[in-house]
Amino acid sequence: MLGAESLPALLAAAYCAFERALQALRSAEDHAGHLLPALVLAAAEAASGRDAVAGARSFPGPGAAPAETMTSLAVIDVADQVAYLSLALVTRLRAAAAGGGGPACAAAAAHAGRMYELLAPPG
Amino acid sequence: MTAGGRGGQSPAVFGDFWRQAARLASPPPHPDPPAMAEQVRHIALAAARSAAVMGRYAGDIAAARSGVTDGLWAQAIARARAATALITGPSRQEAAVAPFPAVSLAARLDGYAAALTYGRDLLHTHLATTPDGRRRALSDWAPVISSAPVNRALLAGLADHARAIAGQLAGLQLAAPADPETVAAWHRLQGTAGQLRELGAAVQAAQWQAPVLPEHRQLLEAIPVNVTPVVQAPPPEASVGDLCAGIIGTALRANQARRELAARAAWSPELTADSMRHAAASYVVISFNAETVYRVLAVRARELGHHGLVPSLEAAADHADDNRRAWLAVAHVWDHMATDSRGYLSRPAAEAGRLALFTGRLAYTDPAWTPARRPSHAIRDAASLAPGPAELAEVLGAMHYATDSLARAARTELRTVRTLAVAGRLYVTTRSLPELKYDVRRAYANAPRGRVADALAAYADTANISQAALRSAAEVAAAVDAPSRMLSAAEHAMAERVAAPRGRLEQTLLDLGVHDPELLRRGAELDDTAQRVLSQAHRSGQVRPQPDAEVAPELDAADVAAEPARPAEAAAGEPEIDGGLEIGPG
Repeated sequence: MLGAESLPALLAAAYCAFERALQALRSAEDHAGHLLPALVLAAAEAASGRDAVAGARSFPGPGAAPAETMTSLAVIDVADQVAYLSLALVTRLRAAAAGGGGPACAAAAAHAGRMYELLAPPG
Repeated sequence: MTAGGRGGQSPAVFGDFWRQAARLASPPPHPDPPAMAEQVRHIALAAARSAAVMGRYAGDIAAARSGVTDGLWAQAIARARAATALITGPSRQEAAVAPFPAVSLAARLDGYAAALTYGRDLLHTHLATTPDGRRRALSDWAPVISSAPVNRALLAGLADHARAIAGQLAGLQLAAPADPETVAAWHRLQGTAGQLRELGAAVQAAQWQAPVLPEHRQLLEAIPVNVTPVVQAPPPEASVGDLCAGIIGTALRANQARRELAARAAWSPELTADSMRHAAASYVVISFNAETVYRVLAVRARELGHHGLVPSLEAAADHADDNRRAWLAVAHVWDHMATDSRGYLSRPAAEAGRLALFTGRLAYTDPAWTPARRPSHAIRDAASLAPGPAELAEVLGAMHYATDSLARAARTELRTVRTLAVAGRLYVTTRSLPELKYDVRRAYANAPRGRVADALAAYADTANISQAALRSAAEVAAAVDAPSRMLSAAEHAMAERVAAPRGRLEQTLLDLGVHDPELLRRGAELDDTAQRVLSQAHRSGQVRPQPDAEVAPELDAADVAAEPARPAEAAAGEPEIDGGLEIGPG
């Protein structure tokens, strides 16, 4: 998804990735246990990251909402997967920001970075 | 409402000056000696100064327009103003003489006037006067200061002082021989004593109508100077006492920051969806931590033999859990809602994050706890959280402040969202609109009326649930005589004053000139019922708003009038794709 080659394609992919992360985090909240604080704060960052991407001048638009294909995962797996997705977002969005992608990319990368800090596996 | 406790520093409170004034107004153990001519002049001047400050207080009480405007209390205020004006009138031409000889009636009265003045200055740190002469609140204490119970306590205290001073003036002997001018001045002092006695009698009569309760006198004395607590981040070595003080200070800072930002909600670029999201998520975490703390304290109460406290602590934990769910629903509102500005984390949101951190450090063993995923989330040992009853009370006091902050947040943010909606500052992601199944280029559309109503219903629900949690936290704090009990006293004092926000029917009755209390009460009840039905309908998901229908619950009518900037843009029945919206720095 984040192997997009142009900036608009990257932004569109990042928008979808933040949305997916948000959905996944919300779906895991009910059984989050002690991970609830991390999940809830990461969800807020995901929504703000998506909004940051949407503010980029090169953002091509959100497109149609994809059909929901939620699979039921254990909370820990959701946290792991979203953490890895966040790391990928940080890497690509930072690179895009450095390559002239504008402050929106930098802001979105910061949100993704905070998601990663909240959800990264300990150790 | 002072911080106190192991790690806190108490700011100055009104009682510091009020008690000093009361002491100086009281007669000394030995009667004053007969007064010579100069002493009579000194006493007259000091008595006039005292009366002038009393008159300023009476003017403040009248300006507050609280419930003190009714019946005998209104007459007492009028009497107080008239009496103090009569006393100060003739003395205006007296030359200033100071300092007065120590240990004299004049010196005591002068000290009394000074202490009263300092106390009044302290109260005024909570209020500002607008250019058009209206009072503006600068803190959460402002409505308490303007409340009827506190104003009655203030007036009753002044009347006590007036009676005490009158007794001393009436008992003042003239040293013989006295010249005619001194005799005349002495007679004027007797007139002053008479005026002060009348002031005291008028207030005493008013107390028959609505007595001043001891807790209201205590509340008056507990009003602190309005200072912003310093920003704190919990160090890893923080003790439980430090954490409790940090929770109280951060809760107070958060309350102040929210109130200030809410006043600018119609236009401030600080008010972003990012901030609302972050704050809501932090409130979820705070509630989650509060539940943990209350459950640990229930265990500890059992260990300490306070079995009667256990059910209340369990109930407080259950309410904290309800609060968590309610704030989670609010957090979901912001998943697909946005504002016209972005990329800024407001001060209330930052304070909410800090409060989450403080409460987490209290709940968990890890001294470096953060909300992030960690290797261990071991809950703090009950004996280390509250080694004894004093620490139990301290922790319960801190949790009372945290819960109070959440209840205030729900009420303030409900008003804020309403203001945002009226100002046309709310948008939704186009992907979240069921009407738009096709591919659209724009990411946002104006928030449809139904979505705004859903958001308001979520906040209103949370306000109710947070209030229930606050009652529970207050009950358990009161049971252990926690220092936070003044929060409840303040809440009760304000409740007496507030009949607002008025609903539509009640307001219509008032607009029609109806002042019958029974009719107004029935109108308010019907308004409440209507709002509950409307909120319930929104929460049920059965609402299908028509384009021109007025469907949003009128959840806080008093605040709808908050300076609409772009009225009704967000109220379009059909979603409207925004054509020129430039959101944020991208």
